[in-house]
Amino acid sequence: MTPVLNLFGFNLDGMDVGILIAGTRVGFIALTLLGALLLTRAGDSRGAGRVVLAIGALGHLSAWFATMFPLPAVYGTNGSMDRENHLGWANVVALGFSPFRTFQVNHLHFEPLWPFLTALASGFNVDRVDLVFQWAPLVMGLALLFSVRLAWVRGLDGSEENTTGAAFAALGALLLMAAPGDFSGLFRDPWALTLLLKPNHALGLVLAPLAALALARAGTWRTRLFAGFVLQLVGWAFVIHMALFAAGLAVFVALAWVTQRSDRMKDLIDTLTAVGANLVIVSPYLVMLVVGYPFLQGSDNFRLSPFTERPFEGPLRMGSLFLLSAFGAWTTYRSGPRIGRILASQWLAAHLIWQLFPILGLIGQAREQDEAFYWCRFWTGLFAGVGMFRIALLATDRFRNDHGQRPARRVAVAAALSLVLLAPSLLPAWWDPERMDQYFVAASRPLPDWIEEPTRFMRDNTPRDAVFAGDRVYARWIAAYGARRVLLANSMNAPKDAIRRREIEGAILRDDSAALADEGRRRFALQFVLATSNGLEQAPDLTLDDLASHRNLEPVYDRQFPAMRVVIFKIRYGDDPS
Amino acid sequence: MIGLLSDFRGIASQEASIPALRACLVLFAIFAAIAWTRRRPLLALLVLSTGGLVGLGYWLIQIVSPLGLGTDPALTLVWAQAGVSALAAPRGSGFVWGTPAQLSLVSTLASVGAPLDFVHVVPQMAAFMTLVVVMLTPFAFSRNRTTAAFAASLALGGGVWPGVAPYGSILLRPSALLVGGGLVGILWMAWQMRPARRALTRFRITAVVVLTAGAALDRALAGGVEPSVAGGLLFAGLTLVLASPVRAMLRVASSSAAGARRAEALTLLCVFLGSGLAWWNPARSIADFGEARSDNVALLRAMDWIRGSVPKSSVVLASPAYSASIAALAGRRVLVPPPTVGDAPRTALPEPFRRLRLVESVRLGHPIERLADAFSVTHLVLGPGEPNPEIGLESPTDEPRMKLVLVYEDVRDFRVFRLAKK
Repeated sequence: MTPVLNLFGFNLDGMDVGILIAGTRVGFIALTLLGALLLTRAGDSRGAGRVVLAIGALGHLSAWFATMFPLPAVYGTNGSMDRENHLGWANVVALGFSPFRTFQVNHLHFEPLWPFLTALASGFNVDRVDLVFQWAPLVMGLALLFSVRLAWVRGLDGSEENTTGAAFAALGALLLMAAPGDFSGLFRDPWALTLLLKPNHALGLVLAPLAALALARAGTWRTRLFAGFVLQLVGWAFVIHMALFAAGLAVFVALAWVTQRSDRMKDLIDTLTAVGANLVIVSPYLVMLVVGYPFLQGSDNFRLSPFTERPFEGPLRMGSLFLLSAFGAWTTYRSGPRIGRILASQWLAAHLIWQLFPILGLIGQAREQDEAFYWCRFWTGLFAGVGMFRIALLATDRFRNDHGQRPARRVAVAAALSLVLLAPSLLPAWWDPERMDQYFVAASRPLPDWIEEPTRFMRDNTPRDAVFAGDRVYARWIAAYGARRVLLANSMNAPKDAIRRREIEGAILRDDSAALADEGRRRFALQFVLATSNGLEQAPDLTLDDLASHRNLEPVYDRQFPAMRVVIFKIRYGDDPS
Repeated sequence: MIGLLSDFRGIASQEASIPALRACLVLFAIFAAIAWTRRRPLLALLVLSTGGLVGLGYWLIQIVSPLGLGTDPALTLVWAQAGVSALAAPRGSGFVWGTPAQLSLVSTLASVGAPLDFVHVVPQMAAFMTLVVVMLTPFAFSRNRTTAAFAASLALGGGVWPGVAPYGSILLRPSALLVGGGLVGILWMAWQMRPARRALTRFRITAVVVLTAGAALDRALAGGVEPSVAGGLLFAGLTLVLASPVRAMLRVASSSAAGARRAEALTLLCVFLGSGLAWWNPARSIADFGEARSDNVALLRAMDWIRGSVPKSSVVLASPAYSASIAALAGRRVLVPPPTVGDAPRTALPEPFRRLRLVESVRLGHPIERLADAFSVTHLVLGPGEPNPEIGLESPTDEPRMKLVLVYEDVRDFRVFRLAKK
């Protein structure tokens, strides 16, 4: 029997996954306690921030390892449509096609950055895309940790208190964004859904604190434009994060006016310039978004009951962590530095926007709720870390030595206390993907043979530029596992010319219009049709045998699996040599 | 009353009513917060505890059959033993013939004469009692009633750490409440002694650190979506310990007494609504919950018949799939252990070959009289889809045989045969 290997190349046969995952949890707790012990034993508070940051990095590493190591395939495959779409898109970009086009041939899309980066990281080798998907969550998590810390440290003075606070902000942003009960909620675990499933969205989170730092430092036209440039990078990574961040900047300016700050005009000019520059640079993207994605059309899918529990779910599901985050955001805003005010405004804006969803839901526009929820959690986690540390500092401030002075190691002691009290809530301490993560469970199972074998055939036996028509449900697997483009896929939004594509496809399937078929070859380079015994939704009357009887379709793969029969036809055009 | 409960159960079992429950809990929390800001801490606690009872009750009234029977290996054995301890004779025997009785809270209650219907709701009562214990414990340790009310209000929603409410784990391991209650009692007795009280107060921070580490490690080791019983109770206890320092911090951070009260009220609101109880959904977090929502009327009808018609001292022969149900719901001992027992106890059963021989002779329609008498087996139970014994075959003549007489049959294909002398 062939051994089952994970993407690291280790044999998974006989591995006790439960023990492995429990080991990472216990190891993380032990590490956190050891870190706290080191802090209390240290001679002074220097390096406290580094210890906290190291715990954050190792925590993310252990949770990532616990999730990825037992999997024989890419996390999220065999279960998540989004993940398979992304994999398919990255595959076709790695094959050398434009990152501006999805795996639906010639279909314009508005998120080109991630597939391009993925393809680049794979060296434009489609066989390495799986590995990039495997490692990207780890890299993004560590990048998030360091970007939050960098923004915080560079924006504030370099005191021990601030550097340690920066480390807690980073730790919280990464490991406090989820709570143990999240798995049972509608939006599930924000850490897994953002870092593991959609690391492209995590890239938006990585860039957001850097955009805040750029704006905090802006003071001249050049630096304002630079802030706009950094902000537009957020947009290319994930446009929703850019919009949410811009909303946070609006709150930042509004708060400056409400609190009658003397520098409010500067805040306004800097923000307007940065957002304006961002909009100018990102305008092609926005055009693509408007053209390619009908996001202004209301839908019953995005309607919410007036009695929805959403308003409470965002803030209150975190319990005391929400309170800590409110305290952290409040004290950060009051402390004065601009970076603190910008970041705290983001916290407030995230929660205000979340409260808008029930209203948007009344008109069928409560779309992308999950992304707003995760954004809310990101800022809540970030400031929960800060809030805990500030409270611990307040507590240690009450202790005085014999001379009535604060203890010299108060920052280290406060950091140690914060670590211990936060430990039970840090994700690596309770993360159990076997029970909490449906995508982990799905990816643990082997790919069904009726997907695995035909898609392997495609990789090995069809040209790299082959385009498939036919089964639109199967289409995403053609891209994700077969690394080939398709004409239409149910898993993607419909291209603008979807009606014409359907006409062309119909002509090929029924062999009734050579002109349309020829257009299919010319415009879309259609070469193959894949159909299964489940039938085609666009031509339910056609059986596999009907298709095989057509002169323009030549079966090149035909296999009966226990679940279904899968047939791949090569399309013959009129002028093809017979 | 039963009809009303049934109506509530019908409403609660609908997914659409969950937001209504949560809206209700939000209202309770808001009223409690208002009461707290108006210097009515006990009223606030009363309102929150009512909310807690509503939140727990919503889920617990949906449990209509023993939680975990047939789905959780450990609980299946507990329920099977409880049924036999309550209804079979002799009461002290194990539910599988020839094995010793297994000790647990519910089987002990059953063996001392508690009605079986009462025994079946012990987990639900334990969960309710946990809420009551958590609510009352601070008053035993603190002379300041406001601080005690604050501690109780924080803990009853699930504590200051989100997602670690102990109710789910207590539901699965109700006996642990006795251990937890016993520990609280010992601590209370120590608290009455001044030196011990001083020591506990002096080392409070160390105790918090050690207990937090212990609770986190316990949770990490156990894994799963619900904390283990020990972890859940430790977190609740820690919340009680931390309540006083939290109040002190809120006073330090606030500019006035009224501000401190508002901060306390906000804390109560957020912790109650975020710590677990308000978002608890055992239908997703407890694997056996869905099964326990179904009363399985078809099975119960057959089990009721067995309970009323098969002598208490009888041993029933059934396939492993129905052994636990017969023991738990009909209260009769069985010859064959349920499959959840696993291989090890099965091989440890006394006289495995004679058991097997009897089973085989019954399958062939001619039970061996000597073995049936030795094991006290009087009835054979077959479930839906299980084939009837091959009654038509000629009886062997090697030793005295019995015959099988069909005494019960229903539309769901449950059948009971009596082993009768020829």
